[in-house]
Amino acid sequence: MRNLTRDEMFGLPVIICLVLIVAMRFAMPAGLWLDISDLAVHDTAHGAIPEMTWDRNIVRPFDGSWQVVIRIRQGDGWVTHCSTPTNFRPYLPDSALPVPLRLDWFTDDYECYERMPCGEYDMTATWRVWPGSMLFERTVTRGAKFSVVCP
Amino acid sequence: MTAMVDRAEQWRFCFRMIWCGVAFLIAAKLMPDAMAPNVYGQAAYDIDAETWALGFIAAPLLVIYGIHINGRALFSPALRIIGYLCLLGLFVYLICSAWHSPDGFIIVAFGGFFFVPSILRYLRVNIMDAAARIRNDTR
Repeated sequence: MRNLTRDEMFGLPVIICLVLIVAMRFAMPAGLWLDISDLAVHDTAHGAIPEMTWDRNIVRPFDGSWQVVIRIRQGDGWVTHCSTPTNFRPYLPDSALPVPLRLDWFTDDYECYERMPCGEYDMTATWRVWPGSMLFERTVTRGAKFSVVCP
Repeated sequence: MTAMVDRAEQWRFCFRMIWCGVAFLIAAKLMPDAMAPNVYGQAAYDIDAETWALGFIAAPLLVIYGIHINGRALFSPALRIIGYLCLLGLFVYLICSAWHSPDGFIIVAFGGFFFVPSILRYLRVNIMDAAARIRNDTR
């Protein structure tokens, strides 16, 4: 070590700390707190509330937030149709999903589906897991495509 | 053969990797769907895109530090070997995940035919360098 300069000796612990933090992020993915799978929004008729299916497993309690962005296809691209604000909630393992599970509950925006014209939609849902420390902050993003069909 | 033979090449390789990691980090911050599950696979998708980007920054950084202090500290080959092993682990995980995904061919092809062979070659060079240093007890 005596052959290294002071900067180089300072740099080594910094890099090792960075590597350890990244290794910890890999070792502790978001699935340790929240597991979301098979998110789907079913095609629906114009005016009806789209129904959804998904598996949500809250493994351990945490404070979290979620945001939903729904885009509609226009030509070759996608235009944002509605976007919910970031909603903060405590997530508890004994929480259950409503039956039936519908888009109005998920977006927490009852006007969003009412304004939905016929077309093809793309929904992106982002959960942010905050288990009390910035070191454990994780993001879970899931998407689903669905259509609103005119009769 | 020592690591010094390929020092500039390894330096460039690692810097390219870091720039890719930085670009991916920016993309992950700006676009929530930067890492599509149909391309990278569900196993990779379950880990944050930011974490993947940080992994591809931190591991080459360790190698670059090992190259920088090469010859002045006995542990410099160990840093490079650990850095390359981390990179290898990241790519193998990514390839295994993308293998089972419908559009993962591009990841499997790039990772399996370009990055992994390069990493294995550099790893071999650095292991030989470490062995030579241990035999000669040189710094």
